[in-house]
Amino acid sequence: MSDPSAKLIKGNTGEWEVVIGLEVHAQVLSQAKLFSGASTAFGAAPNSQVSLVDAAFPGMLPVINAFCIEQAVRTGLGLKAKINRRSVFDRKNYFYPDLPAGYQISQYKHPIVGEGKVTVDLPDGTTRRVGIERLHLEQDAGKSLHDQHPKQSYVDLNRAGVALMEIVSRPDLRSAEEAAAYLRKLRAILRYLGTCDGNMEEGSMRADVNVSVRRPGAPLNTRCEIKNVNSMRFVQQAVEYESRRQIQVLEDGGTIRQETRLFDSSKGETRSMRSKEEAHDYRYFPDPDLLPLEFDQAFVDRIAATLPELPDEKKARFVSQYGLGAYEAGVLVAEREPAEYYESVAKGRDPKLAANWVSVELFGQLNKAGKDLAQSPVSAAGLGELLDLIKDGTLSQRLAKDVFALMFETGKGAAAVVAEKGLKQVSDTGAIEAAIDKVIADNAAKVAEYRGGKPTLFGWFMGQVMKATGGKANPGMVNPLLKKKLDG
Amino acid sequence: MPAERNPRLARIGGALLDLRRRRAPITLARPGAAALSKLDRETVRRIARLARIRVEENEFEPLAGELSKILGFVEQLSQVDTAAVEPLAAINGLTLPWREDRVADGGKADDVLANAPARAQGYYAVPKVVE
Repeated sequence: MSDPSAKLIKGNTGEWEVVIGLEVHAQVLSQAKLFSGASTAFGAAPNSQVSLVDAAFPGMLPVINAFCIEQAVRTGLGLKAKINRRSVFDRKNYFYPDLPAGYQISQYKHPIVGEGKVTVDLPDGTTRRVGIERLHLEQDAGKSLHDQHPKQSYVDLNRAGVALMEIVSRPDLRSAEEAAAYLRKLRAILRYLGTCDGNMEEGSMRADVNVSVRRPGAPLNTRCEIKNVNSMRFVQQAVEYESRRQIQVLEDGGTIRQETRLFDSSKGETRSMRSKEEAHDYRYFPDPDLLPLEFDQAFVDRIAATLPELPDEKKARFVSQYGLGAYEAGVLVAEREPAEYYESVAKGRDPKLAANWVSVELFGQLNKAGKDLAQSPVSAAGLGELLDLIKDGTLSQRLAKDVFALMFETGKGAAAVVAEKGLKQVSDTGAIEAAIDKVIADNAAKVAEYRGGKPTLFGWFMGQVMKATGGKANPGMVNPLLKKKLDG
Repeated sequence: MPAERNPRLARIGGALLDLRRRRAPITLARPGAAALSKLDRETVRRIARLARIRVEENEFEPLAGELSKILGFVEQLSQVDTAAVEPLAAINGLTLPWREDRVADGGKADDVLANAPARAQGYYAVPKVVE
């Protein structure tokens, strides 16, 4: 566990502690909507994926999508949470043009998933356990466009009725970094489970961030809710701005009003959404159109049996099976694809060497090129081939880096690059000896110095020989040969 | 609304049926509970605003009286002692039907927009909502 005192913010009148809880809306990966047969695909023509249920035509009845139930349960299991085999759908009432029924079907008192937990990995290598309060299923609203017409808003109901999982954390987070790290971990779990694609740009994952500040150890203070923050970076910025704002208000003798605020990413600040203040009486009641949702333990067990290995378990296995350090293992398992990529490179090879090449060379090049793993020009098999060339002595580590850079640039295989560029390591004793002799002959003064009692010069001679061979000499062979000639 | 479609009514109806089946005596749980709930004007004003119903100033007082009477009428049910009765969502063994995850609807923007007072480029067009 990390040291909580390190997270305190210094104000003018002393130190403050930030308390953060997140409500994450994650779109369920399903073909059809939660209560209708209309498609959930992103980017279709306006109102083309709307059934009469979604548009709230009179007399239309919602019928629940079995797969969405399964996905919610699967997510609950991934969050090590209590699965409620009986849950109830309620109507959450409010008026907005993109909510045609005048209510959202949600779950209030009896959610499908109860308490769970997420272990968050922090950048300093420590971990923090964050409590999950609940997960419930609900409908998304439609989309309003306010900038298309001077006097009108345009409404597209394609998104209306799409299944969302609202995942509510306990107020267990204590800094902007922790909030971002929590969101990152939650996203990874959802993507491992395959229940949400975690695409924050397309809005399939977004967060409402609850922030309050207090004196260390004091009771919880009034919080503000920052709505619809749609990237990890914005979550971090929003928390940083909002906590400083609240500290300033309190230090100036003011009080915090509970309110909904909006994060303006262009200015990096939060501001009050006054229009929503009145609307906080949702008058929840059980939806008369829907009976309680019930399933048996066998249904839950069937889903549990198909659960993949999740990031925490994978990390533990990478440490025990491959002997990797916790940090390196954490980097590799942060997403499912790199973890799989690593395992196929490591198979039958030195696992530590493989980890180093994947997390340093490959990730480094991908980062530099602004690509993700799916776009990598070097496949796992290709990187494996390169590691094999190091192992059989064809390439030194140093040469291998050059070969890798060329593979990344051209998309060619390791052997092809080596042949084409003549980068093969020189392991021919005669050629190496010739190079050593030349270095010794050209540097008589240094040789005398070395022999006169300055053994640290050995490294310099190594460098000269490597340079003379264009870096291609096999260092494992140069070392003993050079030693023999210098000492002899 | 038919009783089987409204869980609350269904639950109450179910409790009564169940009691009759077991020939249990119906007892009054809270003898004074039937006292009328009194709604004040401000509450009625708030309810009207939440429901987006326009109510004229001179209507609040009579409306408060009428709504209070309705509440009082319904509250008589709280006299039934249901302490020993399991909550019941449906009286005829119905369970929530589940649907397969298959796209089987949509592609009818014209139908969906048919009753819209205004439309533009395939969208509903509504008076501007200012954020």
